[in-house]
Amino acid sequence: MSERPTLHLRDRAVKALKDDQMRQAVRKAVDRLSANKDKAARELPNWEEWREQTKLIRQHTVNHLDYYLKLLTDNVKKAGGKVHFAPNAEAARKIIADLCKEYNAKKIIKSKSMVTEEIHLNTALEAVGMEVVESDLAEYILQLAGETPSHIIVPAIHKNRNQIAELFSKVAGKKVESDTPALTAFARKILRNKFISADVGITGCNFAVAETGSITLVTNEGNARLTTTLPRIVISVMGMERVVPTFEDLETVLSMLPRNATGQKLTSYVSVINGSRQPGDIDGCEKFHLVIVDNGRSRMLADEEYRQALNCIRCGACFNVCPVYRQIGGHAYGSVYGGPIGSVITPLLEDDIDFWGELPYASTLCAACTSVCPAKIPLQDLLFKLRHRRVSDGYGQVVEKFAFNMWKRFFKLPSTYKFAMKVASLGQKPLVNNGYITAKLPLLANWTNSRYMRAAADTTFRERWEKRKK
Amino acid sequence: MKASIFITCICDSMYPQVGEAMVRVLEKLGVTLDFPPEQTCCGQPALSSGYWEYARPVAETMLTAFKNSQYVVAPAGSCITAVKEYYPILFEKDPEKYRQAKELSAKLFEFSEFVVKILKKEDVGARFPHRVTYHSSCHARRFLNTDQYVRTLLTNVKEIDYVPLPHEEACCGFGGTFSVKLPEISEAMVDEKARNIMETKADVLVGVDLSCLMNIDGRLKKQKTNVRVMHVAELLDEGMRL
Amino acid sequence: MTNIQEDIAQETMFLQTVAKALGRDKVLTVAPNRKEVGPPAFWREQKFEADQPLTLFKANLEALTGKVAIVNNGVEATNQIKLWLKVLNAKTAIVWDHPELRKHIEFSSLGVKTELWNSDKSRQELIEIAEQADAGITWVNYAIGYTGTVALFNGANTGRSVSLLPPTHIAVMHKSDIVPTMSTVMRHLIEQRGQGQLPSVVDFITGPSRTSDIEMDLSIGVHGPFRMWAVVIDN
Repeated sequence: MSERPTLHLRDRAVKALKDDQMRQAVRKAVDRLSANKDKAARELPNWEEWREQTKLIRQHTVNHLDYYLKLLTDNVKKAGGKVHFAPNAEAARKIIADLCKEYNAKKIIKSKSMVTEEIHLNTALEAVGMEVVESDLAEYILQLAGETPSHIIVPAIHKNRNQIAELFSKVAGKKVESDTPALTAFARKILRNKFISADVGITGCNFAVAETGSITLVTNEGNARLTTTLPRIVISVMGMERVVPTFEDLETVLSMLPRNATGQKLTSYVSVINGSRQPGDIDGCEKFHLVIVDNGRSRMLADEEYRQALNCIRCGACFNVCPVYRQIGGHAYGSVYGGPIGSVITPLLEDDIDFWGELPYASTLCAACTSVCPAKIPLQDLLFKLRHRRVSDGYGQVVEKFAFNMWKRFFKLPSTYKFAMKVASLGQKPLVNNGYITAKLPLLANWTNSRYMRAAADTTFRERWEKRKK
Repeated sequence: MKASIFITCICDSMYPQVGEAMVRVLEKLGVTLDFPPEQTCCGQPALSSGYWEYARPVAETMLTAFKNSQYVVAPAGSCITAVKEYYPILFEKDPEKYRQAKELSAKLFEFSEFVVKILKKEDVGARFPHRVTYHSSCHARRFLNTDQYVRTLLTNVKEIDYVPLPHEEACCGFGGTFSVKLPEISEAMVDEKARNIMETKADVLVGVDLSCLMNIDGRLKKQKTNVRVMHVAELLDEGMRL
Repeated sequence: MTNIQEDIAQETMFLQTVAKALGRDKVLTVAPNRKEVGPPAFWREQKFEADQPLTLFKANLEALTGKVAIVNNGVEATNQIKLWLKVLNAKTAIVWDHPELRKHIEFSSLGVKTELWNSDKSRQELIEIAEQADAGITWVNYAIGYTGTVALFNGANTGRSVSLLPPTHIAVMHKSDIVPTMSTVMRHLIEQRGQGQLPSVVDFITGPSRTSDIEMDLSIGVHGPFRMWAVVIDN
């Protein structure tokens, strides 16, 4: 269904860990984003109440998603839009490609959207001869580089200014300086023309409002505004859970998304689009289409535990505090959605607990993610449960299974436990040096390559306690 | 006051001296301790790796071992978290075991939590004239919310030169089997932790969770540094005898 | 099957799948009961001093590189805009054809060539003018103190391009339209919606266009205006 990386998680991680430039950039970015978020959380009164309210609103919406999607559909139609339903990625690609063909579109401008990454839309449109241009600065950079986002909020954090200047210079046919203003100005100029000449604008959807049929787009650059203002046709693509019931609920999620994502009180632009242009309107689109995508979400919805992951508002806060993401960045996850939330939803969306079931292990279950999630998704519990699911579906490693079986046999009784401890203590003797095992032995190498191994003591606490009592 | 020791398998086999320090501190504070010999391990390694079926019989030893205890004290936040957070999931479909797990959870305390919350001792009368930094373990901090008690105890140690650890809340990279399943990521994490510790120029790193301390200590030793890694019970024990 | 029938079939099937995932035989059509709506209760109930919204608005917008001028009447507002346009060395401005804006601002005294956004010109002409203009001038329906935001209701003579395409956006408002939080705006929108008068787009604008996509380095004016300045008429 989707593109699978050729390497396994561990190998992808090893590769990423060698990229010092990327790792330094990621550390800098997540530290900055987290500090900004913490500041925003201190400034907004009763932060925990906001989180609780966000959770309740998301939970209510997801638990009644059939009702709210129907309401949304009816209201989008009333506002003059057309609604399309895509059960999977292939259907979504076809719907959008057919619409573009129907309108004789040649040039397409896009604003940042994770769901269009998920359904691999760009390649599908390019395959039928359309020019597709990403307008979010980071997405534009990645498009030129032929890469995918490595963070859902700041997709190009792994790229530095020299790499960006090189990419832009290729487009310009001359050297573009690598200072931020020069790079930004270059992108502004190139992309402004693309906006003006585009036949179709394609956006994602941060939040749809069911009660009014509105689509809300949140950006700092203003590219979503341009994408929905200048082309005559606009297609918004949304994952089916991106809906809130009313404008009042919208205020809540809008209060949380920017603060958790970047620490801003509000992003520079929040556009609430109520259908296509109204009679007399001069700019804005003539035709508005909303494509609602399932692509595995109903499968998540059917499970009351995993359903909680649909409460996500895509703020990326869990990425920024994740100690694993901090070390390996986004690409090592190999999936469209990385970080803790990606590790939860990818095996579920892809319905592949074998290959993608590796991702829930890309965590120490440290719960940093859960502690910040504005929708209070118990991310580490879901990761914990996915691991069990992988094992019970028979995709655990044979060696590991054997080891845990042995462990169980010895540890389930105090007598055999004591015996095992004695054997370990005696058996290790030739290897112990000053209380540590330092040799890189085959079975221990995964530990001793980077750390000394604490040796078992000559006598256990248990033995000492018994001796003491006598 | 009576309490039972839940020693945890790591402490039992690798750090018996931490158990002994804990015993000395608690006994000085007037606690009568016992050691239920039926205990082995909380089952966390298999539990967090997804092997719940193997973890269950091991976890059951915990339920029987402490059946008659009034309080249970352990030198490890992580093992306590396994009981409190994951046993209810593990025994979801067994009402009797579920009840027992809840019962155990209610009387199970992390060492510093027990001292401050149950014994109501914020100052144990320790003196520790060294430069000390503190690693805030994930489980104690985010699951058990017992971080505050360690801080209280450390604050009241006389002559301590306490220096905060940058990114003290960041996971050390142990994560049980994580450290051997994805050793390179684990190394990168513990390496950053070790660097942060070195930056503080502390003589001592103190913590409440032996698995994290084992991991961090292993890294620091491999790097041939002189930082002494101690459990908070050891620090207090030493400080009370000075 | 006709297209319409096909569309309805797809909709039905999709929603049916969602209902089924939620354990329902049929799609829920009765509004579900809810307890928690909108922001937390304390937020809706909080009280603000009369001058607080303006003070907050000014501080918040200025923190985002914006400028806020507080004036006493339309003449002063006109002079302020004229001064700003002069500083910017502006030659042309595109202006909303909005009754309040016309009432307070004397377009002919701004010292630049002004073009009105209305149906006297074609879409293409207007977009080209807005693209070339040095500034766009709009009238603010609501401003939000707590975030330093202006809410623009876009429509026929209040085009979206005016606040978007020129390098400078100047927004004019009554002090009395500055409200403490977004809640007031949302309530107003719900009322308008009840009367079938929801504007085609409501834009909440908070400072200039910006990005931190290059090495987390803040850069102003990537796609939209570099400057977002506000004139508040204290009536």
